[in-house]
Amino acid sequence: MVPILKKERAASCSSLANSEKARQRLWEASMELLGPWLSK
Amino acid sequence: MKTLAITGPTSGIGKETVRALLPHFQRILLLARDEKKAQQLIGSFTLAEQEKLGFVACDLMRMDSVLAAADTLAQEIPHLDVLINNAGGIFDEKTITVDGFEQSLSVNHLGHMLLTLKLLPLLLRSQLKKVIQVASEAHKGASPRWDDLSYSKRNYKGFQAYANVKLYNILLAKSLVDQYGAQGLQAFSLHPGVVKTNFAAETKGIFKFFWKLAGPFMITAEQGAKTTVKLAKEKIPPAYNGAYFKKRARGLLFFPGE
Repeated sequence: MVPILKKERAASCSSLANSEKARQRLWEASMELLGPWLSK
Repeated sequence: MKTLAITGPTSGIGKETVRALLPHFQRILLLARDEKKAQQLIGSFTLAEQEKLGFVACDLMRMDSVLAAADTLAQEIPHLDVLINNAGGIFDEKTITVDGFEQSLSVNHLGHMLLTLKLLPLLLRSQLKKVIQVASEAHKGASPRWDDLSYSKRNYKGFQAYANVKLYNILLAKSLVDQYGAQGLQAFSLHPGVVKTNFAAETKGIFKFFWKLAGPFMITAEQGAKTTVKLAKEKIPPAYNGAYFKKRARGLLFFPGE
């Protein structure tokens, strides 16, 4: 197990990268585009 | 048998990642478009090391090729411990792939997403169950339009398209944890640093200018591979599942001893 210093955290990313809504929108949009191949 | 698959393994960070992880895995599958380059890489190792390596044709610009690669893996290995979605590129000109996707979106995001979803059964059968997405700090310049991922309704700008897909890399890691974390899947994304590779060779204009200007301050591909290598070989605490990692910077996850 990699020891983690308590005061250190995972890297700060943009608010968009932390946005649950963005995550959901991307997932939905990508799944739609990939649909024909996902069903193969 | 610990197994790993990596995209973009024949140059830059990918090549160094393979070198560094070779002692830690029993089987490494190189998912690449260019077989000659992959075979050259394989040939650069000792005979014993070469036996651990295999080439699998995978063109992230063609979804049928991605499906074929996933099928090959399913035939070759019983499980997959770690998948490193490393391949990437920035493209000045807008190009539409045979599948109708903007090239940057296809190579950096959609190809990897399809590959990951198709490899999920193999990943979930393994011990480590890890997906690693090589993203970038460039994601901070993202300006996505969810109804237009392929730039059909707005003007294409190479760097913005790149920033967008790097954001998608981070979001996908988090989504994979949302969807499959309960089954033990771990997914991470990372910024490798600004690495001196031929990554921006095909760009021009302002981006190429800044890339040249930054040259002396860039890190080597070997240094750039370090965060990926750490994430692939170390056990990461569950609290960090889905996290975005960056090395040696204040306030970020830090791997002691470096």
